[in-house]
Amino acid sequence: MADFDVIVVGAGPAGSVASYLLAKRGYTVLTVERGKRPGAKNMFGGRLYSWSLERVFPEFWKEAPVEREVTKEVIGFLHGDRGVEIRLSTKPEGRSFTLLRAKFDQWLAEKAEDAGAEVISRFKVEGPLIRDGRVVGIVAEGEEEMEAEVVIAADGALSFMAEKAGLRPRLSKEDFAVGAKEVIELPKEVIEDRFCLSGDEGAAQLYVGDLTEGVVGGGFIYTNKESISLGVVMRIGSLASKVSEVSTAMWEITEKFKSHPMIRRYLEGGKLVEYSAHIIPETQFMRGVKLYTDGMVVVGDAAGFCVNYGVTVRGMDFAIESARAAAEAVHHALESGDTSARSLSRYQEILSKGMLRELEAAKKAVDLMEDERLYSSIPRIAVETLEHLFLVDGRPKENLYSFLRKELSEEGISLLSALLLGWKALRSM
Amino acid sequence: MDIAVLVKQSLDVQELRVDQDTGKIYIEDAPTKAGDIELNATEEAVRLKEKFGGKAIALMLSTWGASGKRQKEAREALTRVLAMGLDGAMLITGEGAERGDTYMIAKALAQEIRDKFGLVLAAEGSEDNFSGLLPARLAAELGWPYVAYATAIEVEGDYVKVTRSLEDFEEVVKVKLPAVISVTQEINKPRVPKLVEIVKAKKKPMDQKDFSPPVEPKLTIRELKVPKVERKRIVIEGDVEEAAEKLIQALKEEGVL
Ligand SMILES: Cc1cc2nc3c(=O)[nH]c(=O)nc-3n(C[C@H](O)[C@H](O)[C@H](O)COP(=O)(O)OP(=O)(O)OC[C@H]3O[C@@H](n4cnc5c(N)ncnc54)[C@H](O)[C@@H]3O)c2cc1C
Repeated sequence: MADFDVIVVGAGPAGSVASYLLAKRGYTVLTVERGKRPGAKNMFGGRLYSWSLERVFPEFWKEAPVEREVTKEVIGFLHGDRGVEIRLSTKPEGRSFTLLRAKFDQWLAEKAEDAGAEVISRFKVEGPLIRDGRVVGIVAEGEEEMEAEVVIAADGALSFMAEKAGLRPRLSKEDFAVGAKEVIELPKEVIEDRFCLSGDEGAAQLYVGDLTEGVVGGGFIYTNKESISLGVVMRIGSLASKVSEVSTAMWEITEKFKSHPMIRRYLEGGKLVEYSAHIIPETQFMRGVKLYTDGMVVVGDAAGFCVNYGVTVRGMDFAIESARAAAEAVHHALESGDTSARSLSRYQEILSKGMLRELEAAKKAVDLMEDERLYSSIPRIAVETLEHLFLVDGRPKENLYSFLRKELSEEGISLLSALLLGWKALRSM
Repeated sequence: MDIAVLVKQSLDVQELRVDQDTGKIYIEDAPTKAGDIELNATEEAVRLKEKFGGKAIALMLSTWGASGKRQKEAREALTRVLAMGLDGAMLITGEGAERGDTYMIAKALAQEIRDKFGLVLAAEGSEDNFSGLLPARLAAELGWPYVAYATAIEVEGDYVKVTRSLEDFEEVVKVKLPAVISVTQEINKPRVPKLVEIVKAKKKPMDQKDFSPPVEPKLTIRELKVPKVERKRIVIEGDVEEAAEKLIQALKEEGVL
């Protein structure tokens, strides 16, 4: 007899949702989290698309610690100290909420605990316990072994669980992007005023331009109740070769973003209360990942279920959906007494009917977004074209079309590919 | 002989956020945990009971409020010390405890300890307040001898032999049981519980008791504030020699040199 029916490694959204669903079905579940508490060190940009969590907890926003519902979408192009902002006011059907992970992850983990899962924090898992080529449990800190019928690896982007179980190759820095984020406190009224919000409305604002110096990436701002989350996301591979270089570069670019005249006014008088950085798995690496083996499945970021569109990153909703599918497959495996890879392949089957299709499409979109001109030429041309449009200086004005043509030919871009690029630029955000 | 270990629910001072401008301390936002020196007291209790028999129980009187969050943290802190090998725990919480000073808390704890335990182990000071007064007050309340700053404890029949670490020398004292002893961090190296021990600890008995104030506190805290550190904001420029000259001058003016 194993010590537990299921051991879940990691109490991020993927781990907690899997733990909750399996504990609710009456299985004995042990969830091991290395942070001081679930969510203590976890970070993300700021927005959760609600569709997948709604399937687990209908109308969760009434109870969960979410901050604001996004109803204002802003896209911005920055060039030098100039910039363009496009603001969309909307009430979309697919709802999304800004939130802070420390509170939100803890809430989800408590849901799992209330359902009967043993959630133990401050404990690091070293890797899967493998016997005769089969995962039979985990090896925890201090060489301690703990057995389970099934292990769920929900240990995030760096997943040593998946790597050590041979489910994914050793990844290199090209497989990751990095994000840095600050939480800046401001009074509620100030936020609502500056971002044109009322009540619980929230804004999601994304910026590309010369601030990333040609590197794929950009800046973001999400509004919380009494703070804003501000940060930058960048391709790590194209950034630098050393970790220390990456972190200084991230810091410098964040500072540059914050001091841009268009951004500065949002932050004035705010108090910096938190700084964090995290890696983001690039969608491409999913091509080398296997989702299950004998006795183990991999969920969330650990499986690479995260899409980096350039500036926006989406992974929470996929993490939750993959955990739901995994819980379903694990339940069937435990029920039938067969936890082999063949039995657990049901996990992939469930995913391929839904979420994987969306991820495939996203991967294609991401491939198109590699073009570094999206992050340099397009923002510049957008700013300069509009400047030209509004310029009045008493001299005869070149017509807009020929101005644009000239701008484009300086960058060696045809009008058609400019349109395509422009479209992609919008998609990347 | 049964041992009581006093485990204070301490603020995790590393996570304490302060507003430098206003001096405000965000106490509510900071999580709590079992204090570090309490882990030494726990370790010592477990070693003593393994050697001399009896039970060792953790006592916690929660003074950071009785909210759901604080109670959960208190239970987690107790689970941690239970996982180290204690036999059980008692958590006392309720309205009014957050106003407690050492006088009131000592009285309340004494009620739980008298006639039930033969030895009380405590930390020399708590991680958050570090007043170091409670064990002495408790001993006075119980009418038991008190030995502070223990670095080694040995039970010899009805007596305990305690090595105390003082500034310049060590002192070895022998007192009759029952007694109250506070320990320092040098006394031992607390064991790190295994995962399986934490899982088992969650199933160990944990009594919860409602707090009722035995007396009114003598001391009330009006406000907690961080001291303001004003910088002089003097920038000294020039080449090295010149700058050094000016620096010495400035330090003299401040009366530092
Ligand atoms: C800068 C940035 C911005 C982002 N913005 C968004 C956004 O706006 N919207 C969105 O949907 N997604 C966003 N994401 C992606 C999102 O954060 C992830 O996709 C999501 O957190 C994945 O959830 P997870 O549960 O799989 O992994 P994680 O949230 O990473 O959780 C993994 C957990 O496992 C624990 N763990 C790891 N190793 C071990 C171990 N060995 N032993 C025990 N525990 C371990 C960790 O402590 C952690 O709690 C962003 C990411 C970044 C970095």
